[in-house]
Amino acid sequence: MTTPGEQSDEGTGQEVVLVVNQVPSPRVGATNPISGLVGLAAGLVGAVASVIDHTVIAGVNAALDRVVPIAVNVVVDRIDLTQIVLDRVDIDAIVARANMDEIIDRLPMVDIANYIIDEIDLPKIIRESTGGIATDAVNAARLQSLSLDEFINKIADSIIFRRKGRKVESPASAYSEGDV
Amino acid sequence: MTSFEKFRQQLAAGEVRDLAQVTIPEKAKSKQGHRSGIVTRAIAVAIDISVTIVVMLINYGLLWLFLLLIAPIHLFEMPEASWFFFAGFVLLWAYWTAAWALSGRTLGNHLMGLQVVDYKGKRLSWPLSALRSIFSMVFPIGLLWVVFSPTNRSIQDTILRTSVVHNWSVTLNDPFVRE
Repeated sequence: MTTPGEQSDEGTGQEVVLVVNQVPSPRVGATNPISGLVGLAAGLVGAVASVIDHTVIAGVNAALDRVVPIAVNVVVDRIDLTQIVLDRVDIDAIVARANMDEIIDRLPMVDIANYIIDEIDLPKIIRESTGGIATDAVNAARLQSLSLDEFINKIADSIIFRRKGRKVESPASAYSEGDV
Repeated sequence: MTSFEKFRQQLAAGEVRDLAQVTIPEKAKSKQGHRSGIVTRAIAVAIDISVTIVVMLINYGLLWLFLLLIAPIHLFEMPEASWFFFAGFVLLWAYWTAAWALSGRTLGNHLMGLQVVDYKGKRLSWPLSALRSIFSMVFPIGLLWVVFSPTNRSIQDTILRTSVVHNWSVTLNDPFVRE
């Protein structure tokens, strides 16, 4: 175990020896002037070709940059792209392959949920569904007493030989809106 | 599936009429607005009386505690039970009067889905409500007439031309919930 200080002392004391192999360069052709000329000519041709190549490509590119947008615009103007997409593209397949999770991650889901709750007035529905207190239990109790009512009414009616039945409809506006 | 746009249009056109109706059980929908029978009404009354009794018991306890803490020991003496009976009577009378005049519903009515209305189907006026309330309390047996009445009315209902109808949704005719 050494402390960092000791380590740095040792580091300065070390020597690094780099061993470089010197590869002897081939001296082929150095003595032959013709082969030197040929090499030079080949290099020149290559350079000229490269320059021409670049110039031509740049020129063609510039021309294409101008022509292609115009051409595409003209083409697109002439066709109904939407209709073509609708006719030829299977949109369902694209949607099926889309990564919905990422889309949903980018949606403001809480805002949307609040919007939905506002739109359908969920609090009102809950309030009304419960009648303040009502749960299924309250509804069940009401229904049971309702059927008991009818049972007792039936018995009473049969005792006093009433055949016409009862007139239980409420006064006209009892169950209509706008009644204050 | 209904889109928001469609829903709004339906709501504007009045096609979606009453959201409260959605939540009433199918079996009970046809009974809405009909006069209630004896069992439902008796349960509602029993609930109201139970609430009154509980309130009076709490009052009794509080008074006992109050006297225990405040009054000198030789004066410590609870009032007679008949006073509490009388106080409970007055309390129930006031409660029924206010509840029927304000919303047509007491707590018992709320639980059983009932509403008290006059001969036009509107909420009772304060005098009528007070009258019906005191009448119901001094002559409770009049409720039994519901069993034989051809229109499901108690003696009180018959004389004062009131009705107790099923109304399971709270919003309608209810000033406390009206938007």
